[in-house]
Formats: sequence, C-alpha cells, structure tokens
Amino acid sequence: MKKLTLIVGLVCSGFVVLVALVSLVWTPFDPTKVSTHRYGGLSWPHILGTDGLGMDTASRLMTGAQTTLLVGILAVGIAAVIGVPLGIYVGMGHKMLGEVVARASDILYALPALLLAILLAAAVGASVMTATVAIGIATIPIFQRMARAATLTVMSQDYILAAEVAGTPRFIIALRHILPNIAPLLGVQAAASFSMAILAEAGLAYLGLSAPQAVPAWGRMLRDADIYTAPGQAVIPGIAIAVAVMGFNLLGDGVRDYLDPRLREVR
Amino acid sequence: MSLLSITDLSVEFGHNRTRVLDQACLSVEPGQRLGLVGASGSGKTVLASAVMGLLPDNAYVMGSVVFQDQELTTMRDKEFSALRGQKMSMVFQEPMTALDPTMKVGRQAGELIGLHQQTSPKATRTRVEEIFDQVGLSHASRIAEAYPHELSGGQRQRVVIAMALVNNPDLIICDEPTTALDATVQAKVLTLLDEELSRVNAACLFISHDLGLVSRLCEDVAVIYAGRIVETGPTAKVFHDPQHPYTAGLVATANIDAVTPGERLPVIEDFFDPSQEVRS
Amino acid sequence: MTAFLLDHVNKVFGGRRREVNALSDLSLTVAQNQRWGIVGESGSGKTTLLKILAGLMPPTSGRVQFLDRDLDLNNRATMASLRSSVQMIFQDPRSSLNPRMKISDIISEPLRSPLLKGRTDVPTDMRARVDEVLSEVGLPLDSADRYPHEFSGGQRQRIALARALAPRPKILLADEPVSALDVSVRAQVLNLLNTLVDSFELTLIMVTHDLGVVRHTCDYVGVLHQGVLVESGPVSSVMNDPRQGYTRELLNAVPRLDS
Repeated sequence: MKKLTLIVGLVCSGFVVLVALVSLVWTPFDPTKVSTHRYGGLSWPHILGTDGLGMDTASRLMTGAQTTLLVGILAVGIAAVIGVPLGIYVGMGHKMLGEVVARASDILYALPALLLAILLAAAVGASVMTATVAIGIATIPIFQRMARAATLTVMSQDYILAAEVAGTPRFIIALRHILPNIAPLLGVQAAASFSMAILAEAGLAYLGLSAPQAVPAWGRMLRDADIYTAPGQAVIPGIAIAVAVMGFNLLGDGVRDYLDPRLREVR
Repeated sequence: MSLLSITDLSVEFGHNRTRVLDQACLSVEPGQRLGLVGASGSGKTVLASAVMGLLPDNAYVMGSVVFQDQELTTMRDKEFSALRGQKMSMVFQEPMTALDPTMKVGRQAGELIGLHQQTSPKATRTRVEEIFDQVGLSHASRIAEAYPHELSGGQRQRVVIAMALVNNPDLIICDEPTTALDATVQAKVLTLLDEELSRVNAACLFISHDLGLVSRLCEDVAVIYAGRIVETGPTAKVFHDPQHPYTAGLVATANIDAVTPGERLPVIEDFFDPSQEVRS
Repeated sequence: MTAFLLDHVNKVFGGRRREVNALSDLSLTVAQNQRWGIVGESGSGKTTLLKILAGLMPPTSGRVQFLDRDLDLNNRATMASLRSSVQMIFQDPRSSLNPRMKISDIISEPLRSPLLKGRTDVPTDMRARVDEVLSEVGLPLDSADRYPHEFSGGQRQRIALARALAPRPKILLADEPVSALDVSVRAQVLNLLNTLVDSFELTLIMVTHDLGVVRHTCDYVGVLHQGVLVESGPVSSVMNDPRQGYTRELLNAVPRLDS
C-alpha cells in the first residue's frame, strides 16, 4: 500500500517531467503559432484541439509542463535557500535573532501568496516570474519552521555535544551534522511544497497574475478557455494540473514513508 | 495447578520469520515471584508480550500459554481484554509512556475499575484514593487530580503500580519497572512492590537485566539467552551455583563488588562461548 | 599540577522569576592522574558540572582552572589548549555518533578542529591516527569505512572512546559511560576504559549513578545532591564510612548480589 503511493507518485511526476523534456526538442506544432482553427475540436492533426486563438492545445500543454516545473523548482528553491539556513541558525540557539525570525516568519505566514503576487505584479508587471517569486517568498516560513524544528531534534543528540567538545566551529556543525540529518525531512517538504507551488501558480495565472496570454502555461490555458463554447479546452489543462499536483504530493508522501524507519520496520 | 504455564512457546517475526523466542517453558504458581533475567534482545519482553497478548500483528506464535486453565495463544481479543487489567496486569519500564498524558491519573485508574466491574462514581473514587494511599502517594486525593507530567518519576511509577493492583489481579508482569528511576527512588519503589505483592498475594513475573533486583525480590529465577530459557531454579541456588555457563558469566559480570578495584572485570566470554550451540 | 580546580563555582539556570541552582558553591580539586567518580541522581547537577569542565558552558560565578590555567571560554588560546587536552565520552553511543558519518570521519573530528591547527602536540596524519586508536580500543581497522549502525552498543562506545583518544588528551570526562549498555557489555567497556586510562596516564572524571562502577574504577568520589557537593574524598573512606545521611541512603539503595 505504501509502495503504491510511491509508485503512483513517481509515475505521475515522472510523466510530467518526461513531457517537459520532450517538448524541449519536439512538439506537434509551434505552441505559439496561431492558425484559423479557432476552438477546433479533438481531431487530427490537432489531437487535443485548438484554443480561442487557434493555437494547438497539445503543443501548448507539453510546453506548459516546462513552465510548471520551472515554477515548482524556482519557488521551492527560493523558499529552501532562504528558509533552511534561517531555520538551522535559529534552531541552533540564537535567542535574540530567533525571536526576530519567528515574528517575521509569522507575519510572512499571515501574508498570502496572492497578496504578494498582486503587489509584485503591480510593481513590475505580471509574469510567470513574479508569480513564482511571490509563491517562493510565501513558502519561506514553511521551510524555516520545518528546518528549525528538525534542527532542535538534532541538537538534542549527543553527537552535537561531542562535536563541540572536539572544537568543531558552529558553522561546520551545521554543515556536517545538522544538514545531512535533516535533509530527508526537507526533501519530503520540498516535494509537498513543489505541488503546492504548481497549484498556486495555476490559481494566480487564472486570476491573470502570472503568465500573459501568449505564454503556454496550464493556469493561463484554463483562464483563456471559453467554457461555454469549448469546455474541453478548460478540462484538459485542469487534468494536467491535477496530475502534476497529485504526482508530486504522492511522491513526497511515498518518500517519507520509505525513509521513516518506524514505518519501515513494521513493513 | 499452575497459575501460568508456558509450554514450548516460540515467537517468530516478519516475512523471514526471525525466531526471537525458542521453545520457552516456564510456570508460575499462585503467589510465586519469578524473575526473568537476560540481556537486551534476549526475548524477555517478547515473552511478556506473548503472555499479555500484546504482540504485534506480524508475530507468529507457536506453543501454548495457559493461564488459569485458559489457553491464551488462541484467545480472541475481546476475551483477552476482559482478562487484562483484571486477572493479570502489567507494570511498564517507562511510566511516562504507560500513562495517558491528557488524562488525570485518578480518572485513568478509575476507568480501569469501571472496565471490569460496575461501580458508582463515588465508590470508584474511594477505591482509587484508597489504592493511591496504599502505594505511598501522600495526599492521594490531590494526586488523583494531577496530570502525569505534574508528577515526579517515582510518583508516576507508583501510580502505574497502583493501576496494576487496583483490580486485585492474580498475576502482575513487571517489565524493568525501576530501570528509568534513580537509585534511591528505585529502592523505595521496590520495597513498595514487595509489600504490595505480599498483601494482595499476587504472583509476579519480574523481568530485569539487574540480578541484584531479582535476588532482592524473587524467590525463583529463569535465565534467558538468545530466545531460550537456559536455566531455571531458586534464585539463591541459581546465582550461587549456576549450572549453565551463560548464567555463570552473567553472575560474574554483575557482581562487580567482588572484584578488586582496578583489576580486570570478568566478562561473559570468559565463561561462555556465544558461538556454541545453546542447550537448556 | 592540578587537572581541574573549581573554586566556589555556582551555576544558575533560568530567568529572574524562576531560578534553579544547578550547582551551589562547589569547590573541588582534581590532581593529575586521579580518577574521580561524581555520583548523584537526576537533577543533582552532575551533567552541568561536566559541561562546565568541558568548556561547553560558563559557570554563573566562581573560578574554574584546568592544568593551572584559567578557563575562559572566549580566549582562543585557552580553548585550543582545552580542546586538545580534555575529551569526553557520553552515555548513549547511539546518540553520540552521527549516523550519517563514516567511523573514520567521526574519530578524526577532534583532529580537524581549526582550533588545533599548528599545534605540535596533536597528531597530524589523520588516517594513521584513526587506525592507531581503532586498534587501541580493539576494533578491526576496516571499521573506519563503515557507519555507526553497523556496530553493536558496546562497539559504538569503543568508537566514542577512540574519538576521545584521537587528539592524545590528558583528561577524559565520562558521562555515565556504561549505563546505557547491557550488563554483559558493561564489563568489557569498563575493562577497556581502565586499561586506556592506565596506559595513557589519563586523569578521569566520571559522572555516574552507579556506585559499583565508581568503587571499581575510581580512587576518589564526590557525592552531588541537588547541586551541592555533600561529600568527597577517597573512595574507600567515603564508601566504607559515609559522613552524610544522603551518601548512606545512596549506598543502601543499591541492591546487592550477595555471594
């Protein structure tokens, strides 16, 4: 049962990655080329039809996978690169700074990605990048808190004391002892945040706060579809988003179950 | 008729059927105190869990455990629950995990009474305070209103012992009941256990790695090694004149005071080669 | 030369509202090559004492000297000297070895401290030193490339001992070194500890609740009770003729295996 979670997660997320890779070298049509078949149904050669501007949906869907992965990687990257060091630093017992970071984290936590995205879009214009940065910043507190909690657990182990007695500097203790021991947890969190970011970007794109019209992105395709004349054009990117979100979520769960020794021993 | 008789009890775990208990035979008479000593991983706790019906689902049990003429290995969960806490009870090593942290200890003990007999809330309360008083918890009514974390380690273990005694069981299984406690607290808890066992005339299966504790509390002892009972007999006899080389090694290593300070301490390997086949 | 000198040391934890005196007015002199056992129960302050000696936390007040030198946690030269001459082993070898590090990296960690750079009294060839201490604690040399989970509890405590010995310390601090081990393994580790302390002429300060271990291994004993050193002196006199009620209670609490 637990293996099934991992397998389904791997298959779904692997499929998204595969499609994105293929789209780098080949798509049936140019995803941004306009043709006269507006809202063409499912037919050859446009197997998934065309959108309101006559662009090939299958090609846009494939290229959209790139955007989706880019959003996930960048958003999680921003959140992890800022959140994890902060969490470790605070977890290693800097009281004054700890309070400051904890409060800042609370404020950021209360601030939804949506609000950040609106602010950023107003400042520099809406694009996939502004949406991704907004999602990334909004995810920092999650990583900061997780890293802090995990660090506290590791800090209670005697090998930290042993390292201090050995004269190991704190920075090296963080790299040598803490990071490797909290990495599995962070990996699981990254997978979960990855799918959250994909979903959030789709939502922002639907609100017009992310990709502009010409850019092939799933959330944008959802926005551009006219559900009265061609409902299928909304369902297709919807399914793609669902598969990606579910895939990375299950992958995270699967990896966690696999790594958790307590669950593993019971079998 | 023995209170508890274990015959050829084997327990295996998991897919590859790792055998952790190998044809163990033991019997406990009414009121008898039997110590079970062995190293960690020797199968002590598995034996206790098998008797209490607390083995995990991936355990395969062979052989027989008869308690008061009832076969336990094939007993259904529902009947077993009726037995546990009433006819037989258990004292665990770590009192903090044996108690529910979100429930006042008086209520926890009270529920145990309510599970097995119909009593009024007032009678239950009186009984709880009475038993708390008996195990040396001063201000019993106040302790009953406390949550586990508000008590000290020694107080918590007294509560656990009180809960084990509350239904006057015929058999109490103690799994390293004082290991988590400080020496002076351990001494007091041990005295309490001694007195209470005599008072209610309950039999006791006392699991420990500490030979000193066992010789203090139990008249009989069984030695377990690698899932097998290698020696059984009166405590004084087994510890003074061990028949099995493993027992001899265990006694020698435990008896640290008999060695001149600074001299090399005997180790089990001096007496017993672990690679050789163990026969009981 | 004295290994450690503590002069009216106090340690207070907590804020203004709820202060806890972990150590109260503790004075103790440990001469070189003595073996001290510090006995006490949980909350007695014995772990706090060990942490102060290891330079992991400063006392609230009082003076601490090691090898005739004031212990100042902010002085780099002092700390370098402390880290090379004072090492420590811990109670639970499952917790004191990083599960994600190879044994060779674990053992060589004290040698890799930047504090010890350029010191002549510290071994420089790390691989050779790792092999050397591994054989000293009786572990096969191929242990170096393995991970902690591949070893039993007793073997892990040997690894912890090897790590402590790596920088050739003069003083060994031990926090309940055998109480997490099985009785059968305890004797082996104690024998090894005794041999190593003998052959490297170490000063030993061992914190424990086990009086049998103290009687066997140590020649001096200090009894800590609620942060106060209630009694101290040679093991034979304290254990055979305890002056304090608490010491007597502690001695009587241990169940003996009479034979």
